[in-house]
Amino acid sequence: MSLEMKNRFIALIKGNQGLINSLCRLYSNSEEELKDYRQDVILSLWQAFPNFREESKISTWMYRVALNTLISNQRKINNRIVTESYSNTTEYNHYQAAGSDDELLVLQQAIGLLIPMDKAVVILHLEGYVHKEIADILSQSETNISTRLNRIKKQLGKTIKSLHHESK
Amino acid sequence: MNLNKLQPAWNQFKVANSLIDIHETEILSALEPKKSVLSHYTTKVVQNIFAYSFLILTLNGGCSI
Repeated sequence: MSLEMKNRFIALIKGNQGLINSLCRLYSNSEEELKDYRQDVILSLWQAFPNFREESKISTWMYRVALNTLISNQRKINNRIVTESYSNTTEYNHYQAAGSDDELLVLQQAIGLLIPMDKAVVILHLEGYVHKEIADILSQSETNISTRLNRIKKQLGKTIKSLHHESK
Repeated sequence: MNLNKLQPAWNQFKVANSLIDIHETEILSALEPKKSVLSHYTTKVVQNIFAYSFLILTLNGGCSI
């Protein structure tokens, strides 16, 4: 591929580093893992880059490629039982040390405990995508997304309540 | 639970992560195709087959090349 295309791609990544870092952080358990995931996401974006037709927004395209990469990566390597107590998980310890703002920590911990597909759904919902768009990005049915969101809301409600209770 | 309550924290989270720089070298190294362990192993096996074949042919006295 041409040098011009490479430069355009580098500019694109740098311009959207917040999006890439946020997604990789929510799917990783350590800084090492975060770097590995970031490399995988960048490679997937590069491989998909020639096919990007600008029919959708660049951020939508990036979410589609990045989230599907992260979900399939985790399916391959991560069969962790997510039902264990959050205070025993690596996410809890990792994120507890990563920042200082309470609400931010609660958000990261709560989303970090969701299964990969649910994480993607909640991220896209927080980004303002409607059910149909989320379904399209994640290749799921609209009904599936609605059902998942209802379940996620309940789960997040419980987790956040527990986290607030524990921090007191 | 109303997920809109998480919106301010989510925005803050994205801003915090946008401050972490992805270096150009990291991007370029991610683009380089990774050499798979399998292909490396296959290459080694093929090299060894050629090396042993050559040795058998030349040292066994059976080669009249």
